[in-house]
Amino acid sequence: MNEGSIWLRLRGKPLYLLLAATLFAVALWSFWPRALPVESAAVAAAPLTESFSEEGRTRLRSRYQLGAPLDGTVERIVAEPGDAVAAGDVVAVLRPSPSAMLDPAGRAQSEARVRAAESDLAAARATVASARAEQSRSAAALQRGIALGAKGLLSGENLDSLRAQDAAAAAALRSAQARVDAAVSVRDGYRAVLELQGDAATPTRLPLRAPVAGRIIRRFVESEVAVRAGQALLDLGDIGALEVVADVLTADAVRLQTGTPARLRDWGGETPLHGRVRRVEPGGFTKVSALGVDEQRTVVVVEFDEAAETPALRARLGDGFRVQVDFLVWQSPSVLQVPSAALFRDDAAWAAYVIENGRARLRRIELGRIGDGRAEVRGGLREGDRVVLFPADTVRDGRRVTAQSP
Amino acid sequence: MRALTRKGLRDLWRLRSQAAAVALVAAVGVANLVMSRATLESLEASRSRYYREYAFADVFADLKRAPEQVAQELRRIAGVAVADTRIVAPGRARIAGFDDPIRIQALSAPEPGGLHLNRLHLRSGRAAEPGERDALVVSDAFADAHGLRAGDAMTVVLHGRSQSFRIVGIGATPEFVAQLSPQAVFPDPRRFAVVWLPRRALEAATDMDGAFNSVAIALQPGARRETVLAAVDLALAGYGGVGAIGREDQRSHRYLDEEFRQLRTMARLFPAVFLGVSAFVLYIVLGRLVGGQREQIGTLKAFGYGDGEIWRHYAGLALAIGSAGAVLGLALGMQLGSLLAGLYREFYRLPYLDFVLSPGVVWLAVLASVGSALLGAAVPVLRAARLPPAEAMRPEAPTSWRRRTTGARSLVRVSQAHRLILRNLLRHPLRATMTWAGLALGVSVMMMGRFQDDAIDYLIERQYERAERYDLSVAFVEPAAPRALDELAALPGVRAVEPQRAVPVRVRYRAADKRTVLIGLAPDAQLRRTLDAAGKPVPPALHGVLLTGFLARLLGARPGDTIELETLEGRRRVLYLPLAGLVDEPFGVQAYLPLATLDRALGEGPRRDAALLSADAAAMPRLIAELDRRPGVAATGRRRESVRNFYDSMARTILTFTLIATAFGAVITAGVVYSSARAALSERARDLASLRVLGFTSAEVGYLLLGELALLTVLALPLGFALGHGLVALLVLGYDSELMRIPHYVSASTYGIAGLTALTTAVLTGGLVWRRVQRLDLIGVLKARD
Amino acid sequence: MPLESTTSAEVFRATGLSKSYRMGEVIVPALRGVDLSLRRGELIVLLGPSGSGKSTLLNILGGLDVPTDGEVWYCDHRLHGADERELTQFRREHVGFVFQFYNLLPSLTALENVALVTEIARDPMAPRDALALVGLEQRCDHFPSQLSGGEQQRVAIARAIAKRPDVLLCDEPTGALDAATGVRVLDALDSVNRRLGTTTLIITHNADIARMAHRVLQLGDGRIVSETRNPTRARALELRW
Repeated sequence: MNEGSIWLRLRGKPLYLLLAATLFAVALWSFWPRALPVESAAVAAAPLTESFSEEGRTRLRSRYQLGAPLDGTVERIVAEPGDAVAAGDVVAVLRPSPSAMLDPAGRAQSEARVRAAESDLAAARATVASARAEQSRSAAALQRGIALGAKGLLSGENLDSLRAQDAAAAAALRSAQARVDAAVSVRDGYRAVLELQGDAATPTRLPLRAPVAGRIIRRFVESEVAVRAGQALLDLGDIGALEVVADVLTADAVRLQTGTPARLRDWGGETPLHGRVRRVEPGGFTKVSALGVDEQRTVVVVEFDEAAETPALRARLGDGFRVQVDFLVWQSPSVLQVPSAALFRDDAAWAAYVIENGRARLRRIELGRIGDGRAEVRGGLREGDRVVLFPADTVRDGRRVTAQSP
Repeated sequence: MRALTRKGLRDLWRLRSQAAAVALVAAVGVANLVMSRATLESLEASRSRYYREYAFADVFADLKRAPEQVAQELRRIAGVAVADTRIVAPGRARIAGFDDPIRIQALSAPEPGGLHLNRLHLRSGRAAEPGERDALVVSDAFADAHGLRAGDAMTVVLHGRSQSFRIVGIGATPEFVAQLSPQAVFPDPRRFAVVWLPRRALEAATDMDGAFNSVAIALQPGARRETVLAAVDLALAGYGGVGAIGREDQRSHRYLDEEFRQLRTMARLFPAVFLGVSAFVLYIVLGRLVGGQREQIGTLKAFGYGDGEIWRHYAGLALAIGSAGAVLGLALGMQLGSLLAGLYREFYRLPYLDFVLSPGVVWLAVLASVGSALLGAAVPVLRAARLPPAEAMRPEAPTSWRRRTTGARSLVRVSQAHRLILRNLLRHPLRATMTWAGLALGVSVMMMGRFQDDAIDYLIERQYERAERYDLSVAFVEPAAPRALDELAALPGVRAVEPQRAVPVRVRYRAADKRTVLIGLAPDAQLRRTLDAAGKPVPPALHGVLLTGFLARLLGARPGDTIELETLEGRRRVLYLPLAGLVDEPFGVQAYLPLATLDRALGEGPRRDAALLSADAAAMPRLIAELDRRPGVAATGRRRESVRNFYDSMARTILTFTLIATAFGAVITAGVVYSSARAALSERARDLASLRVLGFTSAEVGYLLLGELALLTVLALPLGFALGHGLVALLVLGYDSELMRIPHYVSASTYGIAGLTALTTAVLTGGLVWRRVQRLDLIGVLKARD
Repeated sequence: MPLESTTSAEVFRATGLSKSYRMGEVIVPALRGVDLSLRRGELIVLLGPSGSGKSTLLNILGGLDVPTDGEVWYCDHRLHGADERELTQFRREHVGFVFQFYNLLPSLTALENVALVTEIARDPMAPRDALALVGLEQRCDHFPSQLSGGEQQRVAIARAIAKRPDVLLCDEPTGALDAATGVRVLDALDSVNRRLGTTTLIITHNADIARMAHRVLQLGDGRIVSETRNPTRARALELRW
């Protein structure tokens, strides 16, 4: 019996057709490629900062340590840590031991100390002179720079650098002058001791005076304690003049220069503070890292940016307080950038998946500066492109994807 | 042989293909039963024996450090038979030819002589002598994965100090039947090893001279475990004890228990389904047989055969089929069981895992198969027996045909053929429904089989692609200051660093409590996120704690309730926090707090236990080398590689299971379709042949039969999908535990494969029946009486 | 042919036998008060058109069915109100059946079909002997599908007599056969009746067959309409239709 073509055979048998149609429909529905849900973000122009972070601590810009000039007993330490003192205030009273007073060797020592103090003073004076010279030089450079800047021939960065140098020079001059004052008072103090020692009629009390105005930072001994000559008694300094030091990896230190801005956070306050690199010390040293290997580091000193915020905030900081320093090596107010969560390596090049018409497309990218979680795009992406974040192994070039809100 | 028996045998022979279908389906059910139960029994028996022979401890307690004398206090606790102190330390290892980071757990091997717990079972080589400073025994899974042998070298880094060792032996202890690192979710034998060193060598490496930081205890018979646990905690409280646990909480034991639970669930569910279907198919086959032999039954009764003899005769048929199913199923089950045991041997390092078939299982299998056969045969057989002989020999009256759905008369212009089909369906609604149900079951079984694949895909995607997105995890030997994070950030290729802190806690709510870990996460963490049930990130809340959903359910707590968290380290502070939200994660149970909150709550300043890194793939080798040389780094883990490794190791297992389940499902579908069609054919042979005689083609006649089946098959798909969902839900319920939650997720391709296989099988089987339709004996029909 | 003695014992006695049954939705009264008596060794022919209740009466006499009303006795066995077990036992020990469509089990050979019955009988013949009695000992190992209608019916007869029943009940034994074959079948029945003295009841609508009976009962509309005694009995081979 001639059954004819399959369509003829099936024509009167809709149930078979139903079966076939169901087969087809099930296959279609279940194997139709479904869009993979992915997280995405847009490529846009925004500020970008390249930085690295290091733990640092505060310290007094200039610190003076008051030592015992002679063997004796500290009768009373008048000042407490935190007290403000003026230059010349009595901060402690020493009762020299009799032997110290009459001892010829002790006297010779005191003479030597006076001489040393005088040479310190001379050196301090010389420092003032050079600081003054430096200061006038950098002021002049700043003036030139401002003039050039007004003509647009100098970048803002460089101008800032000149400004910073000028300010640094001014500060250096001030501190040099302060050192001179201190050296004077130290020498006077030793002279006083010398005079005392010469005098057999022993005054039983030797007042010790603060060499400079400032605040008592630390006290090393209690009252009624025997001390030896030279033993540290008090630390004092100008608490308003704080700076931050950090031990920075040498490989990172070379990216810094005087004037590089820094953000100071995690100090316990509500807002971060701002500063600038004052000095990168040229001498490196070896330090064991947190995880146990040797690293080469160098000290970087950061000073607070006076203009940037209220002193009231900074007043809460003491000496030796922990600060996390972010060194802002490079900044730009607007640069095309992509989240680094979208980036991966395609052989040796950087790449990302761009969502085009519902599909993920692999695009090679040229990157520039790498910031915090984002990277500068120099080529390969346009503003407005949407990239896939944290692409899974299942994302391939051409795969259907659908962007979902994270 | 009696003539009646001969009749039975010849009937069976005539029915052989349908009987084979029934037997096959039953065999599949029995095979499943045998496979899972036998494997379960073998595993349990092997494990018990192993525990007994190698003295697996009953209680384990970890602490920070205590001098050896404290052990005497422990031994004095009532109920303690043996207290074995030991040193346990995590570390890293390196072997030649393998670049990925390897985590290890180092334990002090028991000294020779004396009563010791958790004894080493050596597969090859020997134990290290107490005096040897550079000898160790390594776990066998690791050794197998890398092809290591006694004499090979291995570098071990403990507490930052690196030392070269020689492998003198390969083996394991009952504590490490499942060899996986404490943080891992699944075994990664290439990247995790357990090493046993002589006590003195480990003391030196970890600065624990004369001290111990872990103790294993065996209880006296009849001792109450809770009292001993409490007493041990009390004794070790001053030494940084983190809480003693019983055997059932020990990691390897737990892991294996989970496996048993899953096997048990499988052993209960699958065979029930298969045997149910086989009973149903037998019901169809026997029902039609009895229907077709009405006259013969009447004749037999006329000649004096009693009811008893009649039903025994037909029941004998059922028994024969059931027995065949049992025998086939036993054979198949043994094969599959050996296969399964082989797969398990790779994961569970039991010294002896022989597949053992206990008589109990054999009896169970036979009982199940025969029982289901008798169940299916019950109705037809009883019907045959009760048939009054006079009625039996009368032609079967047409069943009452009441006018139904009077209104639907001209609803659709259907051809005569469709009216016949519809009428036939409506005339035997029960039969049609049961065929429909049987087909649906075939679909649902195939779905159940593929479910494992789907669930694992979903788990991996959820946890390792949406929740965790880091490239490397770095664990520190000691809790480190935040400086360590800066150090990591400066390493080559590191793009982002996210810190983490973890502290063991006891979580309490009302009467329930659970020992788990409290994790501190940075609030804007991207590399590891906590997700809610909808997959949206729920960041650790400022004023409250997040708990894994399963944990909250265990405790009976709801958002807003105050949870007590007792930290078990350091100052042991107790925190009271409201439950701020639930985290939906598949592995383990955890509690989460923002990092800063945790720091403050613990009062020890910021301390970090681990960091997650996002890194440039091109710099990875250098980065790993840098991490490797840092003594402060305890271990590193690579997320992508771990996941890939998991897939590789599971792929074979998954593929095997999927194939088996799909085959089983296809057997059910084929069985139902074939026996249904054949039975219908034999029942309606005369009608169909008459139609042929009247001039209908065999195609048209076949359509009456097969078109009905096609309709039922198509209609069975939605029911099958729904049933599949239900069966998956049952499976998921059985699997839920603290260690892992399997999601109730069925992928589109599973529906597709199940549906397509069912449809295709139906078509192919229908084709077989089709050939019989073509060979209908028209002449015989003409000869038959009206 | 001289008359047989009519003084032999009464084998069956029915009084007021009535039977109605359901056929789908319809209630059919098949017998309305039948009285009859059968004696040992008699060959009775029950005549009547289709639907007159002949098969029903035979079924009740053979213990295959139970009456709705009335009494039926076999010797001193009470058949009305007997339970299934008792009826089965009765059939097993005393009755042989021959049906219109042979009702052989298609999956058994001729010999096995006979053996089916002899295996549960108390004092049977050897199956081969029974087949020899109907002249089919050559066809022992053939299946019903390999036998002609007449041969099948003869096997059925052999099956029925193999257990040496007291009673042989035949429902339209020649209904499906042509005249020549039918005559041969009737001859077999006749010879069994003469040689073994088996009380034989033959149902037919073919009046000519009645000539070989001792008595002829006419059934109509559920009742015995007439009862005739044959003065002479024809031989089976003489019958013609």
